[in-house]
Amino acid sequence: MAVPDQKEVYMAKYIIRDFLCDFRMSRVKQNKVAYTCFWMSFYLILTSLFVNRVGISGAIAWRNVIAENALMLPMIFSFCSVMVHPVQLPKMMYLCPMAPEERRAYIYGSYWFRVGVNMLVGMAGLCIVASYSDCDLMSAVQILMNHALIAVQVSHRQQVGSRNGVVAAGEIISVTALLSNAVQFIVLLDLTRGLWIRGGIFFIFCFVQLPLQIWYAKYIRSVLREAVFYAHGHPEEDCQHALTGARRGKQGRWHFPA
Amino acid sequence: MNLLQIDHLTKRFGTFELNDISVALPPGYICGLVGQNGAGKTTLLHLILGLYQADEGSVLIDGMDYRSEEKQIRDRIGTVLAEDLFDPSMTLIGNADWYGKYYTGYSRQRMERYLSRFRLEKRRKFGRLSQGEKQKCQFAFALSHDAKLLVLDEPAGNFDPDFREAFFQELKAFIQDGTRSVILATHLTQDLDRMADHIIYLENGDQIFAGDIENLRERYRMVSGEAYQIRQIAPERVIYLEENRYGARALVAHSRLNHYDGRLAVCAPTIEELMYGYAHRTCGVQQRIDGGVNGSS
Amino acid sequence: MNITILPQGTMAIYEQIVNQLKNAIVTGELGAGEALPSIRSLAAELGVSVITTKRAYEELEKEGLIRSVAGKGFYVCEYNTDYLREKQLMMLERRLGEIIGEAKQAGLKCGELVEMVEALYGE
Repeated sequence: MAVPDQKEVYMAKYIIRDFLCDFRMSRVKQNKVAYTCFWMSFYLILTSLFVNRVGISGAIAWRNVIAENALMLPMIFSFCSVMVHPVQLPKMMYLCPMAPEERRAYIYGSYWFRVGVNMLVGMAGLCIVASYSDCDLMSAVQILMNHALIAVQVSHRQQVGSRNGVVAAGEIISVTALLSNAVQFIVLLDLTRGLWIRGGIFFIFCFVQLPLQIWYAKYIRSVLREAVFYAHGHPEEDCQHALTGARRGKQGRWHFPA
Repeated sequence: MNLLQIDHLTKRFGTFELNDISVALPPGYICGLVGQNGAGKTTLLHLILGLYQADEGSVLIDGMDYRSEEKQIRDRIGTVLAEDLFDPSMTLIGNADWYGKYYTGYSRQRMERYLSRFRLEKRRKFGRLSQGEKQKCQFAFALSHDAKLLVLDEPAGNFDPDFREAFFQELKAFIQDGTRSVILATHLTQDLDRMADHIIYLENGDQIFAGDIENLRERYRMVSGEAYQIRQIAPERVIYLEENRYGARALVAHSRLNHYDGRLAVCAPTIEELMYGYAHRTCGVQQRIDGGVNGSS
Repeated sequence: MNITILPQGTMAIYEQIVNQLKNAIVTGELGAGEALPSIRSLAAELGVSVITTKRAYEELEKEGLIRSVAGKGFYVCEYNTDYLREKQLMMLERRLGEIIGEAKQAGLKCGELVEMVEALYGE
């Protein structure tokens, strides 16, 4: 369907406005995870101040403080953003007159916009880290990759019981990414012992994070696809029946739980 | 052409099933959707709104199908649901403009007019309103974008008594020109007795009746008097009999040929009496009311 | 013209409307050729459903008291007085039947009822 340019401009405006609107304190408060993250970030800043006192005088090693926060805060920001910007639209949007193609464009546009903003914040953080410590390309890429893993995550507005496995996988990925970057940071501060640890980080990335992410990516794709229609009405039926715990049996018929 | 045409609609949700629903609602009428909690009213409304998709059968709004003309259909439907549809942190008029921009018929002046008529301050935040005020606001929005079909899910339960009167006046004014219709799911059947033109009665996902209200009323009578007089009525016609110390009442099936003992008080049942009697019907009474589906008005 | 509806009366609402409109036509309150209110406006004013008033008008049309003009509405037919008188008498008879039924229930004898009628008629 040919969409006139003006409409695309409007849609971009709505997407940006939606994004900013969703970042309100009330939304953060609503979502427990996001709220915890919000407070955790303060905690992190404080502990970094505390931990980085050098010598007996108690002077703060600002370099380290800034670098540490520049590394961790963007990830927490991304995580908050993932929680506070669900892929599914509010119910009223499904009632508004919008062709499926338009809604698809809106949903995918919002998603990639959010990922983009998160990555930008991550890259800004990375630049700060790089300028305050000796960071080589390999580490930089590693940090950025971990950041990307968190940025692309999705949360679902409604809890989908039968998908707990994949959702748990997503959580594992986030936590691993966070830890991995934290460890990476310690390595950056002190390169002498680094080689083994860096090898370890790389190993975990290739053999734990990447496979999980490939599995998780399918989930992201399906969530995005389903969001174009309201929960139980997906034309491809898989979503709808899966939500009720039905399984597809022989001859393509559905079997419902007793 | 019927504004709402549902043919043999079936929808399964795990153990719950909405089974073989058929409805024909022409333009210019108010249709009441009644049934106990869990009978499937909300599911049926979601199917009419195109939020759910049917397993079998079809839903046509003004001859159009959701699968091909979703945008045009949604442009002509105004909705008030039991849950909040608006954003709690935006103002009333902000919400209306934000969602109204998608509708071709949305008019800000009309929205402001309705808000003031319903005594709502347009600059208040939606989240700060009471439940009744929120429903009023959503009702105002549903009226403000030139809708052809109003779909309302139990709004009046939250309204105060003097607004309920205004609410029904608005609905009557809405259908006055004969081109627009309303479908209203409600527990307040006294109001339906006064003003509904069509009734859809659901029970446990099955359709007991769907057709015009006079058709329904003339099939039944509430008969009250002495128990022995009522027992003289053929038992297969008695849907439900209730006896107490002072006499008895029964819901009986009626046709023009039936005559009653002169000492019995006979009148047409209210919807509430009909539903109560039907819900407690004696075994063996047929479930579906035949001929309840009217093809055209 | 005054139409009063008893929602829970023994007669169906549309029948009540039919009777009251018939009365008005028969007594001349509604003149021949006069336009009746539209189905919708009558329904709105009486607080009943459109289906009810539609039914009432259809009944009156069936009895030949009113006719519908396409696009314009319903009008009282030009009538002949004999036919109307006959209708009036039929209605009276039916009402009397109801009164007699109540009288019997109250335990009144025919003579007592006639006395009552005579007394009231004189007023």
